[in-house]
Amino acid sequence: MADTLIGKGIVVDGEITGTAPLVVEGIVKGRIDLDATVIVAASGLVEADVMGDNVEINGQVTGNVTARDRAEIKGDGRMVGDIKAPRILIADGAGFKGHIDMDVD
Amino acid sequence: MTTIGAETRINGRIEGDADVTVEGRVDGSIALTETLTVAPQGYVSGDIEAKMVVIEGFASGTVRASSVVHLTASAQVEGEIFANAVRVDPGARVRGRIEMDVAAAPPLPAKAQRFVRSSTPPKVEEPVQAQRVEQATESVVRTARAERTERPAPVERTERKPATNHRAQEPVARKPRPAPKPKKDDGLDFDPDDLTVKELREMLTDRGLALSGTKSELVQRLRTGE
Repeated sequence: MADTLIGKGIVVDGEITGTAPLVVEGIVKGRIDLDATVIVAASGLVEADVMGDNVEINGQVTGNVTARDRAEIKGDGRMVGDIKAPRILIADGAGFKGHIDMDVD
Repeated sequence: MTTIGAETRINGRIEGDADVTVEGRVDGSIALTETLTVAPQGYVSGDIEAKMVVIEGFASGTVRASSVVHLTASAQVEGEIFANAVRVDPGARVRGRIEMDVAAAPPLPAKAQRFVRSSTPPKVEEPVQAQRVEQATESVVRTARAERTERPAPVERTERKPATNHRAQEPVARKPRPAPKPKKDDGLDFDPDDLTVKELREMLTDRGLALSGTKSELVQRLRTGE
């Protein structure tokens, strides 16, 4: 239904907020703050802090990622920044530089 | 294809070379080389630029399309629309301006011509009249008024009269009237020799010059401006 897709060839410079799932195939700079799933597709480039329920990274992300539920960097994903989430998956082959915070006491 | 979903809000700029559909809300500018569609529940507040723009929802700001802007029946637009072609379906609501690329007719010459025609009965005077129009619009009105009451006379005289008439009627408006420039090498659009001493003094006062001396001295002072 009302999902949001930032397609190839599109650049969003600013803040994306809302409650609909987001897929980024293009470029997003700024901030993403959703109460929903955020998927950065293989062609996607995100230079922004990302906040979402689930965050899945297949492309490139530069910025801090906060997931309420789960953050996952897939095999093709590249990420520079800190991750904060109760559950974190980094697949074999993924690139990652940053801190991980699973909020464990 | 890019979709900004109904539950999504973007605060910032969107640009690119692909189609975009806004079902949600965008506060900021959108610049595309392809088609932008603002869906029925979509909301865009900001300037839009695209090849083609289809508005079914709400848009506020300047909308520019290199080809077509299409406002469907559910469209609401506040702002200016610039496009090669605009299609407005019945029911669409627009507050603002729509401007299409009309081959620009030269507006100023047209205006000037119309003016000359209406205000200048004697054909001979037309060149002079045209010059006056350029000088100051306010004086033109007076010229017209003056000429209605006068028989056609030598160019030199009619040209001067309006100025003097006007001074007699509205002494206050004298100040802003700029000292008529060039045309002759002495910088005057009248012959000071034709004026009375009283008139000469008034002219000198206008220019902030001294009022003393004989008539020939006054004339000389008007000519040289010192």
